[in-house]
Amino acid sequence: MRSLRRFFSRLGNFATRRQDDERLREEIAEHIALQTAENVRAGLSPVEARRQAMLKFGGVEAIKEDYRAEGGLLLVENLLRDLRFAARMLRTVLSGRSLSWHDDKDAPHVAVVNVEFARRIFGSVTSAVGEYYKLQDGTRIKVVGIAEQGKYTSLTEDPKAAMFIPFLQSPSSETWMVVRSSRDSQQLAPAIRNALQDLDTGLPVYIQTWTKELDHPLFAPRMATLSLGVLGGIAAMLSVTGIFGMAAYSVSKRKKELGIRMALGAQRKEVLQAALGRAFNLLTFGSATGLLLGILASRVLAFVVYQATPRDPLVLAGVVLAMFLLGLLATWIPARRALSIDPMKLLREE
Amino acid sequence: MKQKTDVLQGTLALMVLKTLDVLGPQHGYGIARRIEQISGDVLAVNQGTLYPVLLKLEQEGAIASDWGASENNRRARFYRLTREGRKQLQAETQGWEQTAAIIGRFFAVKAEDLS
Repeated sequence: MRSLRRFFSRLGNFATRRQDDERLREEIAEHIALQTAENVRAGLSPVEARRQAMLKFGGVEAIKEDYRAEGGLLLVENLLRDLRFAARMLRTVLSGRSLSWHDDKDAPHVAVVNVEFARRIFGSVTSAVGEYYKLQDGTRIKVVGIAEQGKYTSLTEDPKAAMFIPFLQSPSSETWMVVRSSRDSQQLAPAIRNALQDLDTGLPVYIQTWTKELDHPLFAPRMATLSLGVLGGIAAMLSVTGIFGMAAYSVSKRKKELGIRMALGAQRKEVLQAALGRAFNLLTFGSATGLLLGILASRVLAFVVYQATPRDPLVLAGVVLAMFLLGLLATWIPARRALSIDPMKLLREE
Repeated sequence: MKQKTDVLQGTLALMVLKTLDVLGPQHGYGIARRIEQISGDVLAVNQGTLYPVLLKLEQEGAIASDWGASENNRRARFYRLTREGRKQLQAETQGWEQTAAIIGRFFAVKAEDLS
């Protein structure tokens, strides 16, 4: 329970990392000021009092690192060894340098962190290079470069903090390699397998194509899009039949009135207005409401479907056009029926 | 090394909770002063190490903090014990007393007692 609460609090705090840094700075300043005042009261000269106070407080940088480690690095640690994306990400280091073979176990611990990491832990991308942070186990790591932001667990995730650390400094019993080739994957797989078995016959090898690998993260959005599409289709059908029914009913019920209007010389436009005005009003009102709700529900939608946003003018125009066409389709036949009323025939029949 | 800091963090946290329990809301410096006074020079840690502990406790919900005015009349962060913190303090106090009692008994034991 406590750890769960802590996790959520960390999630929350993670977003306010910069404020935390600010807060700590202020707290430290005040702490040292209070201690200095105390020392002055004890008879020290102001300069000496301040020196003593700072000595007593300890290394500010080390404290800051501990504070950061306490504040949120736990969250990124599970991404530590997920090297699947590293290969791609590390080719384009935004600033600083990438990892190299020289970053071995004898060299100082280094890492390339992504934009989100730099922003959250250090406040900005530019200030992160050359800074240090601490892992939960106390390892001190220097940031040597910034990698661009990536997607790590799902396509629709919010930006996640990630760090890339050299394999030689953090060996693991399993690893991912990305093989790029223009050859057919059917031929390539045995070749890769052979090459790896040549290294060590006992190595378990698991090979997966990039597209197959992408199936997994894409499954949820695909299903969501499909089901949303089907639901949308059903909704469109329902609305077409509903509008059609209402318009047809209104026309048939007011046949007599329409006939009289026509006999009195009403124009086609006026007849249509009388017959379908209400239907059109309802349609406009319903469409506007639907559009508004759709925009309001955009966050939910964006969570499910990658890059879905109703603010996209193309999407918005498409929706309006589709609604217009559906409305046209549904009122077409009743409109024709209203226009084809023959007052003479009507008189004879009634 | 790691173990030592872990133990230290744990005891520091408990000291912080107890200090806040006894004295009410305090800023970081006040807590550090109190801990120093009570433990004497035995606990030779930098005062700064207190702040990560405070953050941890706050994230756990054991303490809460607000800005207030310090004796210098500047902004300082004041920490106070929450209800959950009080519960935690009780539980941990009990734990410590138990541990201390057991260890005490082991130290008191003489060879003839076991024969």
